[in-house]
Amino acid sequence: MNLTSLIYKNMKGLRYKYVTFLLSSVFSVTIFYLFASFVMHPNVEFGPSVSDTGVQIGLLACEIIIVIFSFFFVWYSSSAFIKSRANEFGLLSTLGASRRQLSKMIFTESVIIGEIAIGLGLLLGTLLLRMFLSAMSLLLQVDSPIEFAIVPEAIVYTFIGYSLLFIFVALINVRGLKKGQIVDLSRQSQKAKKPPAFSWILGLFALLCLSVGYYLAWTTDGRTVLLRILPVIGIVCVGTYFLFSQVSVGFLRSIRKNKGVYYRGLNLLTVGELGFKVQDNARVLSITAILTAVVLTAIGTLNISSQTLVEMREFDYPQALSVTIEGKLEPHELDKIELSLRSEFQSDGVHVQSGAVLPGIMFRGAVWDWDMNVPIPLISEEDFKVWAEQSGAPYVEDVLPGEAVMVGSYPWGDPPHTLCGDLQSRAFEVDYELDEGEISFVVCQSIDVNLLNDPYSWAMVIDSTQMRDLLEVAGPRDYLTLISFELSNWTESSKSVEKIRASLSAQIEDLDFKILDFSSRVSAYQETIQSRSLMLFLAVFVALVFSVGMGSMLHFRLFTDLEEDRSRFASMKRLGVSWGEIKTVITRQAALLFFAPFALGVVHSVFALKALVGTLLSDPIIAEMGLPVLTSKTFRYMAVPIAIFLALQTIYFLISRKAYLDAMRSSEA
Amino acid sequence: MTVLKVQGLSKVYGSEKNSAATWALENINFEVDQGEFLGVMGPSGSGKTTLLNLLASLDKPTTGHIEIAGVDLSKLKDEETAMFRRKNIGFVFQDFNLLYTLSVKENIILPLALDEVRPSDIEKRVSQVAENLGITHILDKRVFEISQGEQQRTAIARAIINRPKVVLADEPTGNLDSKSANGVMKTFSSLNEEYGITILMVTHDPFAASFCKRILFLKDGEIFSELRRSDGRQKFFQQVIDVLSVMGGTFDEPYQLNL
Ligand SMILES: Nc1ncnc2c1ncn2[C@@H]1O[C@H](COP(=O)(O)OP(=O)(O)O)[C@@H](O)[C@H]1O
Ligand SMILES: [Mg+2]
Repeated sequence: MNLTSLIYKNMKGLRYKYVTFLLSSVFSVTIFYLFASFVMHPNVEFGPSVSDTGVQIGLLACEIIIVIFSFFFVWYSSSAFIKSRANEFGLLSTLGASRRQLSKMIFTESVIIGEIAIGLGLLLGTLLLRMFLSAMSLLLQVDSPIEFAIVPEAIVYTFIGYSLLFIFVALINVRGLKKGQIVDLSRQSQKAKKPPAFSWILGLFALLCLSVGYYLAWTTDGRTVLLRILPVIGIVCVGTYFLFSQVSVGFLRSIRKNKGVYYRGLNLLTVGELGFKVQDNARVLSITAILTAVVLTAIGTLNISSQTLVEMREFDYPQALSVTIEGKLEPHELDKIELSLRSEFQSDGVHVQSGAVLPGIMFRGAVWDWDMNVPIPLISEEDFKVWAEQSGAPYVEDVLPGEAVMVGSYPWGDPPHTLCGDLQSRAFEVDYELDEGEISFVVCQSIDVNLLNDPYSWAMVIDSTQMRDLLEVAGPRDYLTLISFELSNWTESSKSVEKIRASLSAQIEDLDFKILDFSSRVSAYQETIQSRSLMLFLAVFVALVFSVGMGSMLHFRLFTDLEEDRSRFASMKRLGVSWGEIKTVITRQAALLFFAPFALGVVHSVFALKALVGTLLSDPIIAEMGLPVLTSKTFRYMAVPIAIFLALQTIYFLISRKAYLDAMRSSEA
Repeated sequence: MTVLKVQGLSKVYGSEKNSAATWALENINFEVDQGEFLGVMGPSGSGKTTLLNLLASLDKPTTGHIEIAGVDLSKLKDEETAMFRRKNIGFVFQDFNLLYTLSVKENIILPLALDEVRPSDIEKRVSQVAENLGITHILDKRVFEISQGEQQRTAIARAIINRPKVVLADEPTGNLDSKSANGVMKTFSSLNEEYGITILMVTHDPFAASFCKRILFLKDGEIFSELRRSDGRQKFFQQVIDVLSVMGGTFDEPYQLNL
């Protein structure tokens, strides 16, 4: 057997390692490229508004995290790749390969694999971007905020950046090879690792860091958030690392002291394995825990803010559909409009909870002193009762001529006092100008109902006979028609609302009348969702990336020690430890690797979200709204992302465990 | 009482019909009685390791039967095999086969822990065994902190702590310098003489073999001859050398490439 065929055989045997390294590099390139082509996309532009600045900061943060993450990821996987080939290099040097030759080989190999990875990554990234954009518009039922396009800048940045990165990492690895003896490298597996040291002080320090960080996060509000956010993140990161490196050593030590547990069955083997790897694991475990926390917090924030958004829409828009028309519509025309609206909704499967088309008048006079300067319309008691009955609103007591009941709602608290004063203590008068003369009503009562959307959110209910008289004397521009519908599944009503908007405006224009206001909750909601979908895109994207990244990092951690583990498990096997028992030991280890950082990450994110909620609740407007989502339901909304992440993590765990067991098994034969 | 019984044992590597097949063992028959210290000697490639692997049920014979403590190994299922091995056979390997994730003491008690013996019993037995083997002072050390002779004695302690029916040893002195080898062989010898432990040891080293009470010589997979010790060790050693020179063949273990 000559050297070339030996190397070839060796490479064939190492196929798995090459593929792993290549795939992880491709993964890293793909993410960076996807993100870059998103950030540099021509459709993504930022204005000077506050929310845009927020998005921009978010993007920048994500970009930095991704760059750091991919640097470490590539570095980690390539050094794992080199380390796992220690035996091969040892053999080659035994066969007479000089260190120079080996360095050259490693360098060339890394760079070639790197360039292949860049090519595949760009290809995969383009495919994924395409898929992601269509998936997003499908899921959100809105047009995606950005179109699919190939962004040349992104390709250039990715290509140059990653070429440099791969060369840099290859140089680091070659340098490491030069410093450490190659013989050392090949003996690495037999080299005895020092048992992990334990210090009470560092262990307590870890617990202290976490408690202080948690306490500060839990008690954060709007005033303290900016001051606390960075120190808390720092403290928690430090605490996490020492928790995994120190507290876990301490924990294993205490198990070792408890002979009843330690000397029982496989515990001896498992604890031995864990204790042996704890220092190596600590780094990966703490990084994974922090990343889990970051991702869950990001998703949680987004989830809360979009739920808050839905509630705010219901608050801002008391009616799902509210239209105000100027012009005198005959009773049969009113009926026709109502019927056509109902059948329109029905045909689209939208359920009407209540709906009414009410005639009204709007004399000038009695106006809001709010910024809108819109007069308050008058409607008859008769009509109001019909609507109230349907919508379950409180009934108006008999209204006497000359009296008025003020109905409506004001989203941001009480109506302005300049208009109605304190209704509880005294009645007040409202005056309207007619073409000739004036008419005034004594407002005897105010009822809180959701009648119409802003700006026509209030009306005066007056005696039906008086209303009929006034309708006679009203000028053509005083007539008003108020349409108000509440729908049970309003989020699905956008199609019918758009159809209604078109048909109604055509109808009204034919009559030479005017639509003063047409507002629907669903269009406002969709506008917000659409503008938020950029953030959603980012969050889901970053979350997926991190989730896959963490999964593969843990996978590598498990596989880095494959060679060493193999010989150790072979030793166990020779001692009569059955394959089933070895499987149990491996499964326990892998489970710890995959689920311990996840659990800690969940705890971290709960505290981070508590800080967020504290901050939001100290905002006066949000506090006024008393959004229940922020208080009671916060953590319930977290349950879904946590469950999804747990499911993903379980899948990675099962895959890695199976791959690892297979690799062990194959070495036996 | 017979502890180990081998009948018509053959092992063929590769297909039997294939011309490239290797008959590593061919129709081997022997018995080991309670309290015996049997050595198996033979040049490289004579089938010593193969024999031991079959006895340890790490591999399956092509034909023939192995009975240990009255149990036919071929009748055991896979999981049962591991359990049986753990309970009835103690192993000592050329490369010690210690787990360096564990301390010396933890390595020794591993078989007991796997059998869920009570911790107080474990403590008692480990201190007794360690004292017998003179390794009490290193119990709390890590494996890489002790010498190779001590490592092998740790492995012996682990092999006998479970009170197995028979201890199988594959070249136990193969990786040791002569001084450590002497110590380890004396340990075996005294375990056999004072505690009546049954030992089957494979070796190519005549010095180590001279500690045995009986020696089987293997050549090309067949039993070539048998030697029983009657007088002192020095004389026995000379007899062994004589048989070996009649047999011929190399006694250097081949250099092994472990990839
Ligand atoms: N796994 C195997 N596959 C094929 N042939 C083998 C295998 N193991 C051993 N042999 C062959 O069987 C014979 C006996 O080998 P072995 O039992 O290792 O001898 P010893 O330990 O006495 O040196 C040798 O010819 C060897 O080449
Ligand atoms: Mg051998």
